[in-house]
This record gives sequence, C-alpha cells and structure tokens, in this order.
Amino acid sequence: MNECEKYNEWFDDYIVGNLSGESLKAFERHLGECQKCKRALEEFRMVVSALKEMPAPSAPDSLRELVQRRIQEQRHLSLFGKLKHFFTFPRLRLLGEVALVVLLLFIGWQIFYSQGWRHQPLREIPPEKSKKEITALTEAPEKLEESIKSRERSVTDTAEAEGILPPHRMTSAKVKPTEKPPIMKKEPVKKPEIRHLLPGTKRTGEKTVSEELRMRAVPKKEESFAPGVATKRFAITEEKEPIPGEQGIPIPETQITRRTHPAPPVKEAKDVLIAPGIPEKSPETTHKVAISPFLTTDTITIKITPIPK
Amino acid sequence: MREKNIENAEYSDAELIRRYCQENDTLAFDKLMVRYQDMVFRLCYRLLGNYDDALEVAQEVFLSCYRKLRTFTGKAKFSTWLYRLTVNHCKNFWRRQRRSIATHTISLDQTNENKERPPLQIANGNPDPREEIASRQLQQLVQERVRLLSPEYHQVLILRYSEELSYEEIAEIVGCPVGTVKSRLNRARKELHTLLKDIWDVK
Repeated sequence: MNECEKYNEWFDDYIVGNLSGESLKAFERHLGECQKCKRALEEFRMVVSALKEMPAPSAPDSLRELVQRRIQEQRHLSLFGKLKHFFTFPRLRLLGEVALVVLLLFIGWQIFYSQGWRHQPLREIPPEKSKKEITALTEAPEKLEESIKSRERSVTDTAEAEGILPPHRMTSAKVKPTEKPPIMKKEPVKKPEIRHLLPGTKRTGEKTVSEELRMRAVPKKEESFAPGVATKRFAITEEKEPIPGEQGIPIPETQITRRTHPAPPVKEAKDVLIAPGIPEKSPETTHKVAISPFLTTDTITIKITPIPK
Repeated sequence: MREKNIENAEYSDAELIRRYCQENDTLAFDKLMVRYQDMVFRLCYRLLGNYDDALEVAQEVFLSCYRKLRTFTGKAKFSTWLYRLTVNHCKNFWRRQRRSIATHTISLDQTNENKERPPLQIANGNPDPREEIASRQLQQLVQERVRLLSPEYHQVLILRYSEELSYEEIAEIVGCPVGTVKSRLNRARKELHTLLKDIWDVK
C-alpha cells in the first residue's frame, strides 16, 4: 500500500473529525504535498454532502392505517387460515425431505441386509462322502428308482427338483451323476436356511419365465460320465407360479456347492442329464422351488417331460 | 383512562415494549410506530429510491416488528433493532425486484397517483443559481449512481453518510464486525469514485 492509498483510507475519519494529534498533522502535511489526494478529498466531500442531502420524506399518514389494518387482518385469521399458514411450502418441503431420508435409509438397510446374506460362507460337502453315495446308488438302481417315486409323491420333496435345477441356480444345468446321490437323500425342510442357501440367486423375471414356458431341451452330445453310467435326457418346462406366503423348499447342500456366485440369470433352457434309474415313462413331475432373491419368496414349477425318441 | 395516559405520557421505548409484550397493549405498539415511522420510511426511501416501494416495505417492516417484538431482547437499542429489520427487508425487496425485473413495467401515470408524495427538494444554501443547479445536478447524479453499487456497499454508504450512524451501530445493523464495515466503506468509496469518473473529469 502506497502512501496515497493509506491517506485515502483516512478520508472518512478526517471528514467526520475523528483524526487528531500526529495523525491529523501527517494527513494535512500529505494533502499539502499531494495534489491528487487533495482533489480526491474534495470529490469525496461532494459525495458525502450529496448523500447527506438525500431526500428524506416523512412517512405518509396512510402507513399507520395500512399497518393497523393488516394487523387486524392477521388477528382475525381463521383457524383454516392458520392451518393453511402452517402447511406453507417450506414446511411441506421439510416433510418431504424427512420422508426422502427415511426412504433412503430403508433402501440402504435393504441393500446392506441383502449383501450381508449374500456373503454367507458356503458349506462344502466332503467329496469322499459323495463318491461313496454315488457308487452305492449306481450299484443298486432299484433303490434309486424307489427313492424317485417316493419323492414324486411329495410336493415338498426337493431332491429331484434340485437335481434338475434351472441353470440360473447352478454353474451348469447339466447334472452329472456324481452329483446325484445326495439328491436322493430325503432332507427335512429347513425354512430358515432358504435365505442362506440361495445367496446370489436372481429372481427369475416374468419375461424369462414366460418365455421359457414349455421349452424343449435340445439333444446334446453325451457328457463324459463315469464308465457304466447311462443317462437319460429330459426336456424341462418352467412355469412361474407365485404362491404368496408359501415357503419353498431348500436346496440340498450339494447343489449349493455347484452354484456360481452370483448365479447367472436364466436365459435359455438347457437339457438336464439325469442319472440312470429314472424310468423312461416317468410322468411329468412338478416341483416347487423357493427362490428368494430379495426378501421375497416366489416359486417356480419345473416340469420334466421325457423327450420322445 | 389508560388510553389517555399512554397517549399523553412520554414513555420510553423499553416501557412501551414491555407494555406491548406483557400486557398485549396494542396502543403501546401504535405509539412505537408513530415514534419510528418516519425513520423507517426515510431509510426505506433512501435505500430503494422509490416512494411506493418505500411505503410497501415500511408496512412489511412494521408488520414484522409486530410479530417479532417479543423476541427483542433489549441488548441493542430499539432503533438499531428496527434499523436492522428495515435494512433486511429492503435487501429482500431488492432481491425480489431483481428477480422480476424482466417482467417489471413502469406506468407513466404512476408518479401522479400518490398525492401525498412530497416534492423532492434538496436543501441548499448556495445563493448563486448556476452553482446551485450544478450542485443539484451533482447531488442527483451521486444519489442515482450510489444505487448502482452492490447492496452491501450501498447500504453502508447510506447508513454512514445519510443516516449519520457510527461504525459500531452500522456493524450491529449489518451484522458484521466494525473492521468489515470500515473496509466496506473504503471499497464503496472507491467504487463510487470510479462510477463518477466522468463528472470529475468534466470538473
């Protein structure tokens, strides 16, 4: 800041008479030396005098009357008017903001919750156990047949349904015979496990399910199974059948180990290979499977129809 | 009887406020209004530069005062509190006006509508008519161009040189420290000086 600027800032104090002593002397000395500052001070004096002389009209009589009238109006504001006044825009906006925050919190909780159960560790089945059961079952096909028949009788029986689970629950829809034996085991329905057993599964959308109605399996190359194991080919038909309130059937543990994470959505039908022992004239069977993608439980029906040769 | 008393007696502001707040005495409020209506209207007029706008804003100020008087703590002077209310209302009005400036139209007959409007007379004791005219023109120009400043600068200039208030009072009214008031005044002075450059050059 140069000297002129410094003294320019003192203009106000000088005009009002706040400057005194050394400051006043220094200021006046500078004015005597600097014509620019002297002129600036004169101009400032004119500005101040113009502002001082600004017109100052007195208040009209109508002002008091107008204010009194408006006060009276406010006093006699009806109850409705008061309520209306309460629900003015800012208040409603506040309510809206609160509602939005609550909604966001709810959605956040839902997402957190769903992520929480998605990351549940999966239980693995020791491979030795499966091997044992496979060999036992393949060696005794009549036992296998019996178990299938008994399962068909029960609607809540999951084993077979799990054996032919649609591809969206499994890495592959092709069920190898090595995966079969645990299916044969009749397992009790564990309702609370549904949520944990089906992490990552996606809701079969209405479109995909309806499109998949009566899908026919396309014959494919024979998979390489264990020697001596014959396979049969079945077509799968899926139907979405929402049954509110009805709890589905959990997937056996062996199937859970096969599923991808997250599971791919059902796009197309795939043929399913079923272990030997299923009779050729096996009727269409319907199995209800619970899918619980987002705190909801739907059921789909899977129909197995033997492909006519 | 009491009405007669309050009409005649010279009550202090604090007493009138107490009467209004505690006894809900509307006459006390009326008395306060009579006492300060000129001050409020004058400041509104000086800040807005328009008689009708000043009348409208002055009404709002007194209505606001009627509603908020119970919140007046008495720490500051009542006049300072009322000044602050007026400045804020003028600022709000200025903002509203600025928003609707595109659709705002001025009637040519508007100036003759209000019969109460006093003629704009600027007191000047200059005997020479030529100089008086020149001085009046300069005053008018200054008064017009001071409104071109931003509201912050405009209001501190008006409060300081038109209303002749102290730095402390202005700080309380504007709601900022005294140092800020001083620096604002300096910057306002510089900007106004630049706005009036053509006049200074002619002189």
